[in-house]
Amino acid sequence: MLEAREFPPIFLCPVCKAPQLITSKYASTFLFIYQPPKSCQEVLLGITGKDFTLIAASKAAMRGATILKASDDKTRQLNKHTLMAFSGEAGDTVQFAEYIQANAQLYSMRNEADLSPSAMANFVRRELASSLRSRKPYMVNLLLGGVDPITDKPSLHWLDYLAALAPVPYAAHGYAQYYCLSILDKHHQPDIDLERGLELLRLCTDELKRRLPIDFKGVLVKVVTKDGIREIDYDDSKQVQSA
Amino acid sequence: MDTLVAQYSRPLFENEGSSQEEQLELIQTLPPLSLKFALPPIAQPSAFLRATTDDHSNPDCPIKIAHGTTTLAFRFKGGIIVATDSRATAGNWIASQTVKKVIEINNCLLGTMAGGAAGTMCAGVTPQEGPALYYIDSDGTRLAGNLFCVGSGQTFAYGVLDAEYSYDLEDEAALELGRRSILAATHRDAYSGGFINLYHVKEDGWVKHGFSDTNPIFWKTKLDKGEFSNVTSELD
Amino acid sequence: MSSPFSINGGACVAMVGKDCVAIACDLRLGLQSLTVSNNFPKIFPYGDVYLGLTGLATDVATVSDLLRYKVNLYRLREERAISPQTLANLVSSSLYERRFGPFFVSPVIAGINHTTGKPFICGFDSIGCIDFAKDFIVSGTASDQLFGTCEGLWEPDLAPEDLFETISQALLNAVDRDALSGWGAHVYIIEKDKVTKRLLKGRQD
Repeated sequence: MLEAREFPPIFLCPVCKAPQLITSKYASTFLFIYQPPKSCQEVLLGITGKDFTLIAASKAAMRGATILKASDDKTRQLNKHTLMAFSGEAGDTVQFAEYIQANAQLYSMRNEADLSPSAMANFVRRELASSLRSRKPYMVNLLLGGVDPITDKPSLHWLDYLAALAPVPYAAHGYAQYYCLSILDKHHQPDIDLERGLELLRLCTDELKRRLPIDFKGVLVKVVTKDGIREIDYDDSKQVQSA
Repeated sequence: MDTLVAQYSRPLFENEGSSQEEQLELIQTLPPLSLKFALPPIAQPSAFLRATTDDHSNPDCPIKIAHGTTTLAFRFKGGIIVATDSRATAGNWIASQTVKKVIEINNCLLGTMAGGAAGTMCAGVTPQEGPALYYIDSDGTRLAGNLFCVGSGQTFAYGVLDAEYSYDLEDEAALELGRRSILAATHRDAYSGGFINLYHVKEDGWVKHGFSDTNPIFWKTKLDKGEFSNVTSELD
Repeated sequence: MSSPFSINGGACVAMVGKDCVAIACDLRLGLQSLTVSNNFPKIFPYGDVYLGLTGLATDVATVSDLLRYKVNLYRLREERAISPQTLANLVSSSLYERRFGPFFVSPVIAGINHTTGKPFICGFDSIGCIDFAKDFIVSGTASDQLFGTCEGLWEPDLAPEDLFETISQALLNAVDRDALSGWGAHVYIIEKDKVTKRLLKGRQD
């Protein structure tokens, strides 16, 4: 029989090749970092513009070979102008998001002021990083979209399940990264208005519908502006023709 | 028990290919002299190749075959555009930035290569078929089609290509789209880069449109058109 | 295959000149082959001592935050800026605290000691063993390439502008042969009473 503890130094996700297990050369204990294969099929997209941040998240809630729900909301509002979108292991995602949401709201109540989006991003990163080296880490990928309440500048933060944080003008998680980042590299400009932002989002979701072998049931779209967060009607019914 | 363990702890690839006897038989039944293949001095060449080069079945393999690449080809009214990057990697080491990944088969046929098990493409104009494009890969798939991207950077190229592709593209626009799609892939995919190799296959044969360094093309695209807004060009 | 040190990619180098030191890093943050961000600097200032961190991006952020906290407390307690030598010992002991579950980072320090006026550079492994050097220190996924370019280009007693040219060429040419680092660079030239920060527009492939 194989020893239960005998692992190769790194396991890669069979689907998306993301590292799943990290072991330390020096450690007698293993640091488990496992990304569930399903999470790379979930779509998270974020686009910043002149005065807004768009967040889109796929509506399919998948378990095994089943789509349990086709109208899932993978976002939580943290304060008046910060929205967090999440994907990853079932259970962990909502648990972690609502834990962060509760703490963000507690901060707003205690201080009568909201954390800025970048302060929030660093808080979330720290929570995720300390969970990473615990017995059972949260396995969640995050996008944090916001508009700074003081400067009115839109911002977007990309955070993966290892708690690597990067501020970016546009971002995605899962397979969507591989198809959409190049589209946004070409078509995104920092000073675009909301209408153009939604056009870019359409380019991205059309490409995902065209090339991804799974049905993610369309996306739920929310926009953050200095006036707050609102959902946007986004028609996902159109069939996309492949070249 | 020990024999049981031994039986199941052997790597999968050991039983692959033909056995020593089968190979001997093959060699002996081959026509003599000129048609004989020289074989490496090992028992089972296919298993040996697996053990030394296949990263998947043996992560410690001593020879890492280059996998990274981006190649694309698409059909349009003016013929076929074929474009590739030029990077060769061995692990994270960039072994070359000037690889020619387009094979000029004859004056009206082109092939593209992607390392390892990835696919290749064949583009050409024949009197029988007209402009034809095929995707072929190592497990025997052969697909005719209008548009293919292959390699580790394929998705990035697809993203840019699909958004603006149409069969009715003019020659100049088609060449630019091919070039821009490879540029997109070299920017986001670590294992693609170097030079953009661009070809246009027409009815009377193919025309080469340069082997151009991505670096000046990138900065021109960014600074003139305002694309790649994720890249900083000035300190705050 | 891939170790925690080469998931995100990145490179850093420090060099000694005449009455000056230089430290430079690339700007890539990746996930294996995918480049996620082209604006992820790996050099962090602590007063006028500079720390470069390559390795797992989450640990780069955690370690830089942790040291910012420790160095700020040091400055409050001692009412003076930290010296490069003291920071080196602080980094070393902070890393060794995690001997059996280390941070996956390879730090590099560059600074000028304000008491002696002497340049100081050093590097570490992930559990805090200090590597003192009189010439240069390299770290990251392009470290093999950096050893080569530094051995070839570095010479003693370079003036600040020559040191800038040397470290820039060493870094850019090294990362151009590494798939996981590059995409631009930051260079700091540290003199006794002046620090110059420059952005290098490297290849974006």
